[in-house]
Amino acid sequence: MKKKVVSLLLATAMLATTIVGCGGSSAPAASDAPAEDAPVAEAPAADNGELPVINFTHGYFHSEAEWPAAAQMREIYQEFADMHKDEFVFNIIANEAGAEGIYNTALNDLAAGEFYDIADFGGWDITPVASAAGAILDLKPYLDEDPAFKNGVGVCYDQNLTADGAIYSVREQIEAVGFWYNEALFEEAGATVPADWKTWADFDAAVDALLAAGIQPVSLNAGWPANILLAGYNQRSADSRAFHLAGANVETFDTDAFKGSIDFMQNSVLKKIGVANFDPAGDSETYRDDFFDGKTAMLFNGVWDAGASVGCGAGDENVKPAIFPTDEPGKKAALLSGGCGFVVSSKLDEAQTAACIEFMKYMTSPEVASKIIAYGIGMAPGADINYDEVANSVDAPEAKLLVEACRLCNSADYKALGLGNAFGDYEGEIQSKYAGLKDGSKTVEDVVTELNEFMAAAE
Amino acid sequence: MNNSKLKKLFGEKNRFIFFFLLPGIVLFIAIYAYPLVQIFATSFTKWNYQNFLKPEFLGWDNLFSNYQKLFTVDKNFQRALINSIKWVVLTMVIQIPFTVLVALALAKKLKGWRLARNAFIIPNIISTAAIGLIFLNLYSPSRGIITEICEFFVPGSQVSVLASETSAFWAVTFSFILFGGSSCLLLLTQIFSIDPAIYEAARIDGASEFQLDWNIRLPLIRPMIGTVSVMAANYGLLLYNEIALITQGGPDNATYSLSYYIYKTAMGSTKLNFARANTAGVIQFLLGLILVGMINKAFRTSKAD
Repeated sequence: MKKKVVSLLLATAMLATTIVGCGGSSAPAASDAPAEDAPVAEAPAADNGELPVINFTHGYFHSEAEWPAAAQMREIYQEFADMHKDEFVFNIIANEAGAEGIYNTALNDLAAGEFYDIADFGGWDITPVASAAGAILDLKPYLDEDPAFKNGVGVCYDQNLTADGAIYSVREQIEAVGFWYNEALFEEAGATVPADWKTWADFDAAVDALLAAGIQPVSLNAGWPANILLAGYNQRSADSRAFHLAGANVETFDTDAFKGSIDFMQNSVLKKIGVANFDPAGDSETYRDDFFDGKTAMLFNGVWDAGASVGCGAGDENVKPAIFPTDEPGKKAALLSGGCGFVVSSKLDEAQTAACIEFMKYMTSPEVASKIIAYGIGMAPGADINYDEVANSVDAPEAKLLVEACRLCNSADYKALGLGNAFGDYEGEIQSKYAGLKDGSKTVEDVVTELNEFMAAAE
Repeated sequence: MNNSKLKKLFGEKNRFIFFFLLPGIVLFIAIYAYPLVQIFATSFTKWNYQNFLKPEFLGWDNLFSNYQKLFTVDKNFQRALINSIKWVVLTMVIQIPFTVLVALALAKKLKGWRLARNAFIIPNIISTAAIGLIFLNLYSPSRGIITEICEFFVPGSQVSVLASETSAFWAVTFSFILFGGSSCLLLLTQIFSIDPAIYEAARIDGASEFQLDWNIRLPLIRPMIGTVSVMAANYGLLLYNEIALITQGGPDNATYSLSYYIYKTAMGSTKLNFARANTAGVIQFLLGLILVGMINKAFRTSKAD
């Protein structure tokens, strides 16, 4: 009898544990709590019952040693919270899964009819699904009524304007992309440096000169850097810019503009570089190492790589920023992608919404924009940034290099979205073709046919 | 049903068993059965980012529209399906025979057999994610040993294993196909449980070691070979980690598997096409059922055996 009672108790305990384990919890998710060892100063404050409470989630969880920019971003957030502590409670929550974790959590929350108060999605575009679910706020009316706010978000205004005339996200920094080059290697090869290029023909000539001198022009992988080069080449003429602008909405890839771009990638780049300088793994970082070790002459990456020049094997003094030539002599192009950043819930009350708008205005203000550039975090989208002033305010060579790179991108005659932001899912399909283009197993026509098939399947 | 049968069914003993089974049943229904039914149901719907909260039934006229698209226009799915079937076949023709051979060799208990057994098991106790990274480094064109070896024997060969569709497929295959440590352990256990008297009798009749393996050990471990075949075939069918880490489905989607396709379609795309992914999931599930049925049938033993 005793045995039976004990067994029965055990079975009941197991069942209870199962039910409790499956139950929901009102406590914050573990992933939303800052790491113990991460110096995240801010912690969610308690609701004092009087002031409006806003929870802001971001992905800058890294320790200062790991990524100094993350600590500086948290400092900027905290300054805002402190400035408004008498008006509302602004809880700053670092998600240790980063922007991707914030995106995945948002998907789960949406399924349960919930959404963050405000979150920084760091480029992970939640807006199509969240707006279709009616969960997020249209920011356009707030941008239209405040010219300073509109100026502060810069290119994000046009880039994030949806077909139905709404803007669901703005960002305090943008992916500003041109490329970097090693001046010493260009000089050694007797090639014209990118700063003096007039058209893409100069790129071809420089690549040939570098190869003739036994210098690898560039390292790529089947992803990010190759996509930058393709997107940069897409800005060469009015036709190809129009094709790029249409992006994910193109009706066919069977256009002269696209074929010309793929032909360039195959014959002017991929087939010319060594096998060791093309990593078929799309997430390989070897291409950066090669450049900063002084093994290759060009690096296709954003302005933020200014920081990596410090003490690099290529020599700090040799690393220079550049933007893309076009086929219109003297005209230059750069890739400036806003993408998905701050997104606000549509379920907030008036006071909470006002606080979120205030926060975004602060984050896109010229003061914060200057800090973002001066701290070496990245490039700000604002149209009112005084680059001379920012350049004078920084001392570190890498900070000066970043300011110079940002200024250069901002000075481009043509500013376009990066390949991923423009082409969405097609980006992955396009990059999967590079290996075949390099080894010659795939032709330009093959690429066009296969992309059109992918388009048909995606409909 | 008469009273005594009812009494027996709801008797103290059965109630007792039911209480113990209840947590398992609840977990099975909540975690396995419900999602499975949902996957089946949503394969007949339109469900993507546009109607994330509410899948829409496709209607009776378009009931199999998702299935039709997979088999007619979606080249990535077709490639994934073919690759997954290839990996299942390869596990059956390479991994299982290789593992059986290793088990038979280890069963001889030659000098150092324990060391060899443990060495064979090591890859199975390392996470597949770590294995994936190890192979990614082996295959890297800039720092990988494969490229170095080829360069040593054929200077200027410039081999990049993951750049070619054919070699990338085999590169993924070799990242898992020879690792049959767990299966080998099961087979060894089965071999060691065979009554030594049978070997004695055979040896008295003049049987050689090969004949002992062929006529005694292999027939007696046949059910266990069936079991490890099901496990290995399932591994081949569900392959994901190695692909995600080594090739990410490339080059040109040549190494897509069904699992990788499902992930890319549902979560790796801005369109969040859950319906299409679930349809592929249904096909993968049915394929798994067919495979298990076929393998069980092939390795079924009768009294005559």
